[in-house]
Amino acid sequence: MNVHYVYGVLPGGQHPPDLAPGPDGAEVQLVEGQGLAAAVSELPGDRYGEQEFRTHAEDPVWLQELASAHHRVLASIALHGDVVPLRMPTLCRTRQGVLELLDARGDALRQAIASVSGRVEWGVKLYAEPRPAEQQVQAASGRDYLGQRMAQGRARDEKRLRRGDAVRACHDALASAADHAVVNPPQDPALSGRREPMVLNGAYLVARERESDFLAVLDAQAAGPCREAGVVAEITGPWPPYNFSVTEDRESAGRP
Amino acid sequence: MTDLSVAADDVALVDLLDRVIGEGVVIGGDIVLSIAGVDLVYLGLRAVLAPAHVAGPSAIGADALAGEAL
Repeated sequence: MNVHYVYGVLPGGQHPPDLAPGPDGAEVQLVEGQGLAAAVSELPGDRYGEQEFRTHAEDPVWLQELASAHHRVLASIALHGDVVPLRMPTLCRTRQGVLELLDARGDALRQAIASVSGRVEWGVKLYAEPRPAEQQVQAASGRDYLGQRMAQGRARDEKRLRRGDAVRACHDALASAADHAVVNPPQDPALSGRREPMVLNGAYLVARERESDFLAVLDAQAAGPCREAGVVAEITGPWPPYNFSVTEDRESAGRP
Repeated sequence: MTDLSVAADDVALVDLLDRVIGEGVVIGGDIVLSIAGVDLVYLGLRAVLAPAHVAGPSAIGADALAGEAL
């Protein structure tokens, strides 16, 4: 039995010129109802059914391929228009089920589309540069040694405070150049591939016409206050508005 | 102004999964086949990936934002 895999929801009547294919090259169709359109692929249940997700719950290759396809489809829509991403996986049994989804969640989805319309998401991650090796203390006496060690400690504390200030100032500046901002938990270094501690994992919803302003703000922060405080910036995007597609459903599901 | 990251190959796996599995609208109830276990999927994936790369302590507390890390 086939399943209907739903990538996201867009305004009805918006026809993306180049819809990217789904997993295994699957065709992506727009199922329209309630003034909305769901981007959907009909996929074989023995490869992408509910049970398959349980079977492959710890299979990075399988999940990565599907996540990549999911993102590719949404990005191809967001390139030319608005889209509200649904969380992977959202599966319906039938095409009728997709229509029922649009019907039952119509108001929330329309609201979500309105809040991200004409906007894209940028990700900004800040890392603390590794601390340089401390100078060996060369002391003439025990008291001298202690004094130097305490001075080193004070310098470390000051640096830490400066870094915290720079991170907050950077986030505030980016947030004012954006319509919405969220701070996510730092990524695990085991997954981020970087050893430096992540001190900010932010996502910003930016109006398309304000994108160059937003990027200029980041450049200024990264080259100025962040750099002086030993903080390195990394930007990703633009993304479809994954972090800003909030409906009451999600809030009631206990997410922040 | 900028092209959206259509080429998913250019996107880091962790950023991709954080968004595709961690964010987006959740449709609950009887409308969809299943939504339970999604967080488990992600946790499971972390468990699989982490030991391969991790060397040394990997915990970053929420206090990292306040500049308390290191």
